[in-house]
Amino acid sequence: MTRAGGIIGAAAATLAMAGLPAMADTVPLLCLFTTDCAGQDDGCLPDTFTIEIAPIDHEAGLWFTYDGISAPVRDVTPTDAMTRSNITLGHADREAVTMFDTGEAIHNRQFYQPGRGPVQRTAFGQCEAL
Amino acid sequence: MKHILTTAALATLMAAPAMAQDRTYECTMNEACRQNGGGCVAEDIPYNFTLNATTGIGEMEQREGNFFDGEVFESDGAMHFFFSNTAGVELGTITDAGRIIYTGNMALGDNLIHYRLNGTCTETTGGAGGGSK
Repeated sequence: MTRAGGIIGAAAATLAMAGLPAMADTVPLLCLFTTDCAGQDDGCLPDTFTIEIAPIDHEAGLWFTYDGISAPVRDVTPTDAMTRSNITLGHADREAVTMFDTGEAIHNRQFYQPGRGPVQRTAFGQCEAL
Repeated sequence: MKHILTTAALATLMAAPAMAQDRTYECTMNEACRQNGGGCVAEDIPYNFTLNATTGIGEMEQREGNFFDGEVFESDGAMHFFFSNTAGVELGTITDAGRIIYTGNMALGDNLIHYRLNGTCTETTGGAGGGSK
């Protein structure tokens, strides 16, 4: 996708061209997040958790590992992007971690909960290279 | 809803897969939360989503006329659309019951922002609203 998506539209595209270094790489990361329940449904419970984005034994590529779960992820960072993003693959939930060049990061998880509908959880945090 | 691919199959393919039929949805986002997910206000923003079964590409039409290509994944009871650009990513989940959550993580200047849209969708697959692209 070459155009800016989202409700911020073209403003983000302009700012993204400001010349920050490309973020796409495969450096393993350790991230600490705190769940943000502002404006969320009653099922959102404040929590602090870590996510490791790194290789695991006997498997290719990078994996999310947290809370006893390992899921393969793909680096979806476009060329010359000012954020690095990873998204899970082959996993019932859809999860994305977006990291700014300062290490500031957002974890977003979306899943379907029967009887409730689509649910999403957002956590804000910080990542550092392992 | 006809489930074409299992989660395990998706894991094997590792990329946006081609699926058996186009799927189209007409959605209206009726709430937008832009202050890092909070500060929600009522909105009325049209979004259309299409799974192009031939290419496996997920297409989005935002605010009537702004088109974006991304990826689409299916899990039990929901379709997941994913879009990325130089500023960040957006992820949307549409359930069979016709509800959608759409979130974005974007760099905006020196800040990393998060926003969320909530809405409802009507699947128009094969109908007048879309289907065969």
